[in-house]
Amino acid sequence: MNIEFFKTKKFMLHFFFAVAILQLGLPAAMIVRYEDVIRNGTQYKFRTAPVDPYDAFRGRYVALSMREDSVRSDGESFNPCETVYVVVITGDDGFAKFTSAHRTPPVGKGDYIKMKTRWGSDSGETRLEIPFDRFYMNEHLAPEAEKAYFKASRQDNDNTFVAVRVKNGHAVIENLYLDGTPVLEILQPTGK
Amino acid sequence: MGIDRKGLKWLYGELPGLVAEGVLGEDAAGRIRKHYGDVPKTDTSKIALLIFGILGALLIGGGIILILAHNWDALGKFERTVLAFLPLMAALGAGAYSVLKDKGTAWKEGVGAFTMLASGSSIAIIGQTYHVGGDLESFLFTWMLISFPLIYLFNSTTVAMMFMAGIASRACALSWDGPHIADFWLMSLLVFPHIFFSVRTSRCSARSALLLWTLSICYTICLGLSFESATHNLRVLAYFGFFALSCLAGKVWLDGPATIWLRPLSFIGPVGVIVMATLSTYEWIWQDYYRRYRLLDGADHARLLLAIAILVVIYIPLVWLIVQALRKRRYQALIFGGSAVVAALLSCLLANLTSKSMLPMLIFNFYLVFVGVSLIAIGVRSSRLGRLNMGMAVLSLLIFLRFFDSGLDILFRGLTFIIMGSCFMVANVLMVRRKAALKRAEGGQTV
Repeated sequence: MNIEFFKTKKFMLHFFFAVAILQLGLPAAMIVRYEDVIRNGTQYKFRTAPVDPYDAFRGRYVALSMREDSVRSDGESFNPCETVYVVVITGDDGFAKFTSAHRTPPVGKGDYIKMKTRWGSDSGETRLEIPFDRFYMNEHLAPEAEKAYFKASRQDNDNTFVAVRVKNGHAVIENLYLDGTPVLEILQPTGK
Repeated sequence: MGIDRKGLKWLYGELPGLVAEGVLGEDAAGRIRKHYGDVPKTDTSKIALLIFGILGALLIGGGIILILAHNWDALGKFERTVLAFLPLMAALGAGAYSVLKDKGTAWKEGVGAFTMLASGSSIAIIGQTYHVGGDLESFLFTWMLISFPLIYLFNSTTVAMMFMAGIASRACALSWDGPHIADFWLMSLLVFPHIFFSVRTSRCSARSALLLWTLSICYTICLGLSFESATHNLRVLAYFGFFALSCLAGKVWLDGPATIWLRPLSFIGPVGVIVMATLSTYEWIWQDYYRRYRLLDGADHARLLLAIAILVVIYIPLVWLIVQALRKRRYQALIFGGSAVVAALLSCLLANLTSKSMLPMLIFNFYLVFVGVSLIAIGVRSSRLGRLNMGMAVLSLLIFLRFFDSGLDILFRGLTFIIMGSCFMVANVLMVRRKAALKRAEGGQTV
């Protein structure tokens, strides 16, 4: 087969279709995976503390900093940036807790989330890079959400959290709640 | 054929004179014209169309990304999904048209760039819809991976350059996360066939130059990121090897009758070697070296493996190119390339054996003197003012820098500057006179 074959219209058309399938298939696969997690995953509530930076590629979002961001890893030490599978449960207070971290997907231990480690410490506590750390909003609403959060936190309210669906190691945010109410509902009167 | 438009124009301009002077017969001149064919025309309107096509596509694509970044809360998931796919479908439609109709370069470059931006925006908007956290680096990774086939589908240099910039940005974002930088080197291989075919078609074309400039800049940045403090010493060797490789590849493979901007390797290589050699005359480079070298204490395995792999990939072709340069007598490339590597290897060895920075610093001071004097000698011998001045510039730089970090008397420094400046002027005047005399002698011979 000589190189001229690769320049023929027949080959280029086949090549084009392969590229088109790849270009359309990847976003489609992303949607299918996230929809599956949202519809069939188990819901967990993670306590948060939002701030608001700017990401040129993806518009404005509320940056979420989880209160639960480490796991005890007795007997096992992890390197920074290592991929781990962290088992998640709902604690007595109704909010999510990480119980253990593993190098391979844990079987029979309930739900787990795939994430990376930040760093470990001598006390056996491993800090985690939480994969759901943004809540995207309209660029006018994101700063409003931040203000609303501070107002809620000033009132000594501990009921600010994100609802996250978890399935097969994947986690997708369902909604952000300020004082137990979805953020968009709070912002509707002051929003658009 | 190895002759470019400029060279051919010059040759055809000379032919009538050569025929008139009886150097060539009319039929021989005809045969030369027939052999080389017409001077290829540069169609300025075509180039303008190409530039505006690419710019237009980038602006439209950028505008779409900004509009999507607005994050339309009012829209439901379904509408947002449609919004994510719409620009991509339009881009693919234009792509199908350009493949079916086999459109020209301007069209393909524009469509390629637009498709790449559209696919990036579709991933971004889906991420936004599902609040997928994650970082710029994982977004760039996915985007670049699905975009690279566009380089070949549209034979698009714009996409190739955007791809290289994308993977280099990802490597910068990941610089603290060592082993993943290996991905950059592997992904950069994906552009190589495009660069190879472009260079094979024309060594000194604007397309090849743009690709090689982008590749060299990305490699220069990512080379530094691939090493950590524990492998710092290997980083010095890698940089010297990389710039030496550029010098030699530029001279042995990609030399041609074109301006330096069209021969990026011949520019980046020597400049890089001089910068590295100048840095190596400072103590801090070598202090770090012997302090941390001891059997690479603390270097993690993945980083060390990556460092060694990079060195092997640089040094094997480098040795081969040195042999080629020796055979082809490319002495200037060997001064910059070959001798720099020898100096670097020797310095690393000495720094490691003696744990002192004095010897390596001395070696590189001598190396710069050697480069300066050699360039002056080449300049004088071949009557090339550019080489002569380059040699003088290297020597002046060395003297200038040594003056700032040595405890010499101000009067002495001043005098040396005056002497150096005078040498510069005298050498230039002598060279200009010599050239004029040569020209007169040639004129006398022909009369």
